[in-house]
Amino acid sequence: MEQIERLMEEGINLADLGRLEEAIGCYEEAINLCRQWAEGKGREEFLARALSNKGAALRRLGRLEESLNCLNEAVALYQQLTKLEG
Amino acid sequence: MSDKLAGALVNKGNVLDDLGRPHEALQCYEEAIILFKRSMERRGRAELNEELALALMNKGVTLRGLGRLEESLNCFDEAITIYRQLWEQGQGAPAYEFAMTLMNKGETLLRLGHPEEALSYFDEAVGIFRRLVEKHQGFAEWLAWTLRGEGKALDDLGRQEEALARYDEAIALYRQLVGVEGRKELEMELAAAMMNKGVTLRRGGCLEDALHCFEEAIGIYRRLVEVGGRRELVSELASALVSKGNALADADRPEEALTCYDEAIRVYRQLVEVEGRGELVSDLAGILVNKGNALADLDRFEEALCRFDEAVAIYRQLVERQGQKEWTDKLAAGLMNKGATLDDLGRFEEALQCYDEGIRWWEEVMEAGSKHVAAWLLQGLGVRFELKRRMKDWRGAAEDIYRALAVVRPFFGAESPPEVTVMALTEFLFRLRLLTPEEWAELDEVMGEESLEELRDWFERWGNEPVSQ
Repeated sequence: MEQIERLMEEGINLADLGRLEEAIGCYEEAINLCRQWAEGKGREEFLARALSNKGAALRRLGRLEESLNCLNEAVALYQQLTKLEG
Repeated sequence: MSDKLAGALVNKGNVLDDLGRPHEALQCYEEAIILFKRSMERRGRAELNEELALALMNKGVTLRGLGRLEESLNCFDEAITIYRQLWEQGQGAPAYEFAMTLMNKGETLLRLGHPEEALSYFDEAVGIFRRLVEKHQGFAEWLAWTLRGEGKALDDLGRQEEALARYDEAIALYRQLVGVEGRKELEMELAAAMMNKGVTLRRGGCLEDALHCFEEAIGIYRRLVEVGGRRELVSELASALVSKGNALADADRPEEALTCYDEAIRVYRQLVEVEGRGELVSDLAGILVNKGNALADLDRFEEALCRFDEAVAIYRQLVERQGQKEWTDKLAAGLMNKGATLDDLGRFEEALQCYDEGIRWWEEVMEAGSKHVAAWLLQGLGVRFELKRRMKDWRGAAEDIYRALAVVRPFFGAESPPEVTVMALTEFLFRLRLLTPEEWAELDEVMGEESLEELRDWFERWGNEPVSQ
């Protein structure tokens, strides 16, 4: 989990610097690690965050369809998590 | 978790809007706004204010894109209130987002025809962007954008010198960003700023300078379209060609204007007739009218007539079949142009029919409450009066005088009637001044004494010589 958090932070810093391709690389790595995890609330939340950040970075690069796919998945995950929270 | 869902929904809305799916984008923003508000109310999450304001701003931009301007203003107002509260509470509103919201409100007010109010929002936004640019050059693009908005507001207010100063500053910023920093994606913004400047210069009669601006914009658009493959900018290229054509026509260079119009017409025909961009058909009609006028200036009346015919057919289709009443005044103007050309060709009866119909449409627009067409209606009545005079239809000519008096009465009761209406009235009275004593005698026969008295009164009030008897 620490590794995922580190990747997310690095991705955010790189995106702030405008180094979007590298930021996307970090988010993708984080997403892959999340997907390898066993299912559970922690995993879903990290995955949703990574997908949302990747979607935002892809949008800034004008890769809109890819961005939308990420954000659709992120929104669906957050919706599940919100339901679980009641 | 619902606030994170709301954040993701805002991001999704942004992408959907970029993809040209504004209705789906709106749904996302609306859902996000509800979630943010619920979180804030139930859990006192005041820190979500910023995110709520951003969602409101994005919703406002999308609504504006859909032409829902009043709703858009409400969103910007709500967002601005939040940002101001954060500022006053010392919580430090995010300056960039705040300035963007102010700028967007200015743009919407401008589209609603409130340049004075828009100017104050642009001013405030420019102030914030200037401070941001001092810290980080990355904001220069938005400073330039806002300066253009401010320039448009100033131009609408008749403050052309100040508008030009804003455009020049924006252009200098874009040149720096494109030329020095390599931000090639901003070339189209540089071209748009050149267009803004050109339009203002043309309005001020500085035709050569305006032409330089249009030519630079055309060069950029042409390169982006033809070399860069940016097909989506082809309508901007055509629009720049039309502006250049208009400036050339103003400069009494109708032959060169025709070349510009022809290229623009080819582009628009491709977009409208081949690519199915029906929303651009009114632009095509507008250029056909401009081309018709240039041809008429060259005494090529038959060719001009064909262009006016096509333009009138397009506007008629929009107004009568598709119910798009906002094109009624253009239909009227097209008919008057067609009438004038028939008049030039000596086909007076047909000309009269066109004038009759054009005037009927303008009267309809006036009756619907749009007083801005009064000047055009007056001009139209003057043109028809002139034809009836030549046809020695004195009863008809007198009828046009009565109608003109009916049009001006409500305006000139006010202390300062609109300048364009004053000019149209002066033009109408000037036509009357040119009448010979014999023609006045004919009019005297058919006009009532009361109307003649009123006419004398108008002449005296607006500095013309009294009606000769």
